[in-house]
Amino acid sequence: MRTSPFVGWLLLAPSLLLLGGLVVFPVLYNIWLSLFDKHAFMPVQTFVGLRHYRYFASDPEFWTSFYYGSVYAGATMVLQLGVGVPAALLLNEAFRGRNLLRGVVLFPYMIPTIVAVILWKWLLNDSYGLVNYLLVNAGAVRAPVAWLGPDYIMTALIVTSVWQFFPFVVVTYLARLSTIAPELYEAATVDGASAWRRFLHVTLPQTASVLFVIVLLRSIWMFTKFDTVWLLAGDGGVSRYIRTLPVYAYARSFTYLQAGMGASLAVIMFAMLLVATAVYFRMFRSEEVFS
Amino acid sequence: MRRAGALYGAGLVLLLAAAFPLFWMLSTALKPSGEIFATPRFVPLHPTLENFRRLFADTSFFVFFRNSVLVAGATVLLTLAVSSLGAYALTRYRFRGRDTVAGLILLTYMFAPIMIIIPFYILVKQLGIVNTHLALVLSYTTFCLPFCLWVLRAFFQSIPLDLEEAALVDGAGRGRTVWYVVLPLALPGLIAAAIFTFILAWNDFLFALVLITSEELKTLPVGVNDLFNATIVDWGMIMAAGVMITVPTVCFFAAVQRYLVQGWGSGGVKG
Amino acid sequence: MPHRPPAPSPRVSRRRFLAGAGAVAGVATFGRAPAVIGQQVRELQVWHTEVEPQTVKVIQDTSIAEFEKKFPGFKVKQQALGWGDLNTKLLAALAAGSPPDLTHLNPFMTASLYTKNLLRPMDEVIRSVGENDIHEATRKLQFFDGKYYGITHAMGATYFCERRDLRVKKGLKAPETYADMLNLCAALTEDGRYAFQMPGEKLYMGFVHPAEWLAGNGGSWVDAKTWRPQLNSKAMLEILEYLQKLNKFQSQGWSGQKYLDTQAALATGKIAMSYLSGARAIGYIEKYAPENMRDPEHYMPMLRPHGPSGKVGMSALDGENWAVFSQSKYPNEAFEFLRLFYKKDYYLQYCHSVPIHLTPIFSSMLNDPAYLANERIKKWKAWHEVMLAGLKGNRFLPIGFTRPEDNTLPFLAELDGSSIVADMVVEVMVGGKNPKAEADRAQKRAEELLTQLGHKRWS
Repeated sequence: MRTSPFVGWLLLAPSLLLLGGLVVFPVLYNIWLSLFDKHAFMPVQTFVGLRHYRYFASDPEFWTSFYYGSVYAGATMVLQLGVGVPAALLLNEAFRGRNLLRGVVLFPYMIPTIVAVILWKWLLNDSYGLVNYLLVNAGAVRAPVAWLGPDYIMTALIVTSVWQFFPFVVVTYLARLSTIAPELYEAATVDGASAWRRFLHVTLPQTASVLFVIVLLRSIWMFTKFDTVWLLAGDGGVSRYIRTLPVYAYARSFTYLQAGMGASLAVIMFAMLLVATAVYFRMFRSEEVFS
Repeated sequence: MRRAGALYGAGLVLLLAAAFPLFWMLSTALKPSGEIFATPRFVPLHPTLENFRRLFADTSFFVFFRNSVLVAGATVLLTLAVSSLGAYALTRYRFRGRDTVAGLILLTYMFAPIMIIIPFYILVKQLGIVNTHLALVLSYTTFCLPFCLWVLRAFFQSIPLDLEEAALVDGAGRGRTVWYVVLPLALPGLIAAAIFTFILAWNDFLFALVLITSEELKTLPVGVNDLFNATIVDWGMIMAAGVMITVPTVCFFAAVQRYLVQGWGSGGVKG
Repeated sequence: MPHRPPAPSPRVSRRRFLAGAGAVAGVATFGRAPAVIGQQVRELQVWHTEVEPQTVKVIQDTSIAEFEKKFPGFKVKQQALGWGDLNTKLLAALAAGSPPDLTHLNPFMTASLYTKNLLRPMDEVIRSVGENDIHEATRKLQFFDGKYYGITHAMGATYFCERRDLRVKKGLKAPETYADMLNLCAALTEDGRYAFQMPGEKLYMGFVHPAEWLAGNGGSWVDAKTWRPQLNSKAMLEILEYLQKLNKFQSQGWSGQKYLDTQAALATGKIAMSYLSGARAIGYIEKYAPENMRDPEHYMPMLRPHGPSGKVGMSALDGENWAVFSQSKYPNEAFEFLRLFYKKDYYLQYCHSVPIHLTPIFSSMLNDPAYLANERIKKWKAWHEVMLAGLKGNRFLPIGFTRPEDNTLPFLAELDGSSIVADMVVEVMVGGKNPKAEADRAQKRAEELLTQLGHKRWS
């Protein structure tokens, strides 16, 4: 086919313009902004160099939110895999109603975060919530549990997030599972391998690369997750106990009104992700992930 | 036999885990307030649409809903247009740096909105479009682009060139060829991209929170959050709002579900 | 920053350009432009925080109706914002260069905006509505360098709302001191009912109440001269120790619940006192309390106790002030609107739209038969009297103030937003942490914050 490079660039231009203007430029501008003392809404700014970075290095609030953020990202990551992978294996089997179930499983992922959060707040409500009602009736607890109080708010957050995001793992893992050649399993079955061994020796190696991607993407997204966390605790004092890094960055910019410091937190987060991703690649593999 | 039993048992557990909370939302939305605070029952004793009536009569829910439809619809169309052009260029035209550009586009996928929201806000303000739907449409489009470009690129790559060449030889212009040959073949990809875009635009909270200040321009997630914060224990109405937001997604999804796993499998999803 | 009206031509062309881009989106299929960018009609934007539908309606039917008759080219657009949203929305609008022409401001924001030269003086309006008749609890709050920069829209006292019948049954007096309060709470705790509940929002438990505590215990946010924070002062430590004891008498989930949840809990008998209440609570009581209990014999306001270092319990006076920005497009019309707003007949209707919560700012009206001739005020007269007693005893300070002079502090919004105080309160009350350690931590954070904001005057 005869094509001209000029037309190629022209067709690509809208995409590049949007990505360049609304992602790349803000990222660069963000780095620049992090070197200034800037009020979130007033037009004045003063250059302060790396002062914000030095400040955060010894800011206990920063380290607390890093800790909460890591706990949140780690726990939700493990649980999403723990629920999502078995669910995908199940949905890869043939049984009646499978297609319906495949669709239904996706629902939690498709509803808006605000709905997921409000729904779980209702389920976990300490006076009228269904969860407490069932627990008390089953005799598992003596008095209703304050799920949204300080002791359990992190648990509530993790439960809500896992419920909301495990379908991603299901879909992505299932897409790969369904392409594994059946002959591989047949050979293993002939060898008399148990279901567990078949999983270990056939499924797992075949799906290693997709697991790699899932873990990478989900970790990044959970580490930078804002809306679920922010919406669950709202303006409550209890938000203290789930103040993750993204929330802290948002607060610095929009409630402390220190846009420069908020920007440096964003840069720090990005640097952390970059380093973690590089290490992760080095540890597990280096090529053909996105092919 | 035992195996089948185990399969169905596990299927049931999975079904409950995914769908029960949503069922409970619907059930609460249909209960009169007396039942909501009484001993929980799975099915309402006296189902009523009163909660929905209050939602539409006493709140701006309809305005939020209309805004969301508008913004999500415009975003889907703009995203599909821009990413189809881009993906077509990436697969059908040869130019230097093409693959590098494709790789770089994927890299932008790594930036979470929260990490650039401040400069984004400042930029939008400079453009004079803060507090407009246009700002939302542009931001959602941008954040959907990497995924959509990659999905469509994969689909376009899988469409044999001979078909297009045949059409071109027959005298159809490039535009007609794409419209009548390429796009129909890439339909599953377009649908996957559309769903992904729709979900992102329909669900987004952060951009809508930061960029929109006027009550009459708010989209559903922010509007419903305000509603939630401003009402006194009206769980029935709140759950009714939840149901109303969920329904369009579910319908949209049900209509095109069979294309979904196929499309998503080729690119991963964001969220 | 000098005010420049937006230049129309480059803006239009940019808009066209972007609209061109947007058109690809098939926006046309929806039959309308995707965004409201500018308005061709002359529109007076008025923002306020009285969200009750009846209040909005009264404003629409009185001052707005007359204003629009008087100025045919104008439309008044009122926007009722949730109180918690006001600051963020306003700052965003200011940043975007399109603030409303007339707005409510929290008094703790006013100083900050005044020092940034963002407000217009309004002496003439204030003289014309009756400067000397304005109650002294609010008159001079926005008086800076010899000029008025704001006028309070109405006054609403805050206090506990108690189940008076329960306390009377126990034969206990209203608490004067922290010790009294703890005794009262112990006495009111019964099976299935907590003594009280605080609202969990940071704005309240981390800003409004801490200011009250400090004011009622001889403390203050900052040193009057040096502005050095006083978060680990003796006054604050006494408060924190009291709070730790007090916390045993409320539900452990309180910090995850909202102000409105506490009102519901009071109305449905789950608690004996709601910590934060105002006359707005009457509305909830009349709607949610058992029918035979919707009266002042059962539900009454109760003023705050004072701490060991204080003389009298203080509480927050809810009353935003009207303000006009220097960037306002139609300042004169905004002032004209204010004159209509305070016109006696209209103002009475306004105050009656949420009786007692919207207490008139004019001393002459407080006992005016025309004001008292309202069904709800008649029925809940006892609540009105608590309001009068509090005003007389100087027991109210604007929201977030620890002293009257706090009206000059330009960093209270940031202090509130930083949740430094909220974290301290939560850690001490809910987390059971050591008050001294938490107070020291908060002090350090507050000193850092003020330094970063450029308000450090101490050495």
